Formats: sequence, structure tokens, C-alpha cells
Amino acid sequence: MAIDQQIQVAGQASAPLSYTVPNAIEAALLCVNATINGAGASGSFLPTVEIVSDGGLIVARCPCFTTIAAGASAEVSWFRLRDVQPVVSPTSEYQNLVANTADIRSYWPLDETSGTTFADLGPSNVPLTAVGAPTMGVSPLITTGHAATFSGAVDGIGRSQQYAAGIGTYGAWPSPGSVTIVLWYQGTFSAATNPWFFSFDDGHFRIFQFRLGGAGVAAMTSFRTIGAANPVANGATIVNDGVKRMLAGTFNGSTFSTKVYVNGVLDGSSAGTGRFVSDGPDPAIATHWASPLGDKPIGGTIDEVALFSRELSATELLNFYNAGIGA
Amino acid sequence: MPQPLIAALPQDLVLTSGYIIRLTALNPTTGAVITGVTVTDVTFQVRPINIGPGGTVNGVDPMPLLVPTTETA
Repeated sequence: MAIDQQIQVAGQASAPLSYTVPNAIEAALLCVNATINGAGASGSFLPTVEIVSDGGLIVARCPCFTTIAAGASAEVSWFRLRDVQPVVSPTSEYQNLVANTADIRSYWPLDETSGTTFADLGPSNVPLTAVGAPTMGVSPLITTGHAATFSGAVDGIGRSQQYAAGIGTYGAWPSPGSVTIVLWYQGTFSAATNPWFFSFDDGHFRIFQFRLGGAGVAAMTSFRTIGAANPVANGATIVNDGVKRMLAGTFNGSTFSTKVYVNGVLDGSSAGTGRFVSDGPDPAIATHWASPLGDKPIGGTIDEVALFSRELSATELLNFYNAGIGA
Repeated sequence: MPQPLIAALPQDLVLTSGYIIRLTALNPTTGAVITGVTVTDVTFQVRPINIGPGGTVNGVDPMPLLVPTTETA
């Protein structure tokens, strides 16, 4: 337990007034109070506290930024700045981690509880329009915030009835054209139609797709020039069993490999010869946006969708997962 | 009664033996010391980390006036 000490200087003194710190002491300076009388001052002045080292070096100069006119007086108090501890909520902890990860392009937390827009917290600022009134404000798949639930329904000609989509403003994608998509999913939607978690299209062609496939695994595909083989990474973990998971798909523009991660752990990978092309693709959640029909919708709850222009490492993705579950 | 003017001290500065707290008046343009200024009712409040006797104010030991003011955890 520390006891703060107040040192009082009796009477009147001429400035500069110096207090020398005693031998065998270490202390933090909390406050200085003084009444400054400039009746005999040779000019206007700034009342100032200076800290001078034992070697004579001024290590801190703390002026009061109000100029006192010659002849005037003032009472001045100097206070040590508070040592403020930042208050970070669990939600902002995850969001801070994702939003401050290098090469983030878009980040849709899907925290909205009403309205028709999902905000993009990333630098690309591509808000998504909620089409068909997906259920907003549902329980989050990370520790706090909210998520959105999509029905996965289609109309009579196969068009998605609930999704979120935007018009891309990404410009040229940074070389070598790598990408990572991260999102949280909880649902039991059938994989029979290869429904899409997220699509990134240039208005005519799919750039990459992140979807359900096989018996219900996550799958990441990058599309290259038409007619060539596309690398497809299929995961091994069944992810449409109603358990919430963090899913990630990556594509490396240098090695052309795609990978799928589940809960921050590599779940499948594929080598390929694909390339990622983009000069303004349009993002969409829970549907395939390139088609005018907007088909292949997925049902279930989706949360914290983030898009990067880099292949994130396994460590980074595992850190995301741990932050998301509050570990 | 006008309110005191407020200024800031650095939060992470530790004073050690031989350091000087200097209350002065500076020219706002040049930084030069302005003469003819007097100070009264001067107090310094410090939180000791390790304390011993021997401090002086303008060469005078202020220890008789050293009084505890605040107790903190």
C-alpha cells in the first residue's frame, strides 16, 4: 500500500523554483499546484513544470497552454495523466483481431438487429443489402453480438429468397491474387445442391466459391480461365450437423492451392492451376450471386463474414477461432 | 474566484534521486525564462516507490512540511 505524499513550499519564492528529489527515493509525480504572480514579470509567459534529470537534461516540459500576461496572476494545477486501461468487450476483441489483421478487405459482422443493410467494417466498405428479410439479430455464433439466419428457400424457378449481396468496389486485387474467406456457420441444410456460404463474382463468372459439398463438408473452389481445371479443396468434417463452427477457405495465388479450415484446423487442401482474377467482384452471403437468378442458396445461421486478399496462416485462423469462442 | 488553470504531467515518468522538479515561467514564443515571476502556495504531490530523507527546495529541506495526504491501494 502506497501513501501519497504532499510536499508544501512555505511562503513566496521566485521562479524558477526547484525541488530536488531526495536521496534514495523513487516516486511518481502526481500533481503540482501553484499560484503564479506575474506582477513583476518582464513579459507574458506560460507557467511550466520541467523535470530535469540528475545529469541536467530536461526530460519533460509541461507548460500550461494559457498565456499569462505580464502583471497578471493565475492559479495553476498540473495533474498526471490518468493511466487508462482500455475497456474491450468480447465482441470488439474478436472484431479488433479480425479487423486489424493484415490484408483485410471486407468484414461483415452481421450484428444488425433490424433494417436491410449489413455494414462492412473493412476498408473496402461494401455494405450488403439484405434481400428477402433474413432473420436479423439472432444469437451470435461467437461469444457476443448477433448473427443472421437465412432460410435457404427458393422460388418456383430456383431463385434465392433470402440472401445478402452487394456491388463490389474492390478494384484490382493485389498480386498474386490470394484470398481467404472466414465465416461462422450453424445449420442443418442439405449439401445436395452444393449451396453457397459466400460467393465472389464479377457479375458474369464465379471468382471463387465457398460452399457446402459432398456429404456436408466445406468446400473452397477457385475458378481460373474458362476451360481449365479448377482447384477444389474439400474438407473432411461434416459441418451441416447443427453444430456451430468457424469455416475458412483460402486460395494461394502463387501456388494455386486451395485449403479448407474448420475451427482453425486444416480440414482439406488441393493443388491446382487456377488463378484468382478480380477487378471489381460482387460479394454475396448465402447465395451464388453471379447468376442473375441468384441461385444455390444455403439455409442456417451465418456470422462474422470476413474477406482477405491474402492466404491467412493456420495460426491466424486458429487465433480467430479461439477469440470467437472466448478461449 | 476563478477556477485554476489545468495542465498535464506525463503518466509514466519516475523521479529518482537527484532529479529536479522545476516550476518556471517561459516565454511562449522563445521558451526563454521570464524573470520577475513569483510563486506561492506551491505543493507537489508524489507517490513514493522508495523514499528516504534529504530533499531540498531551493536548498532548504522541506521535510518538516511533508505530510501524508492520500492513502491508496
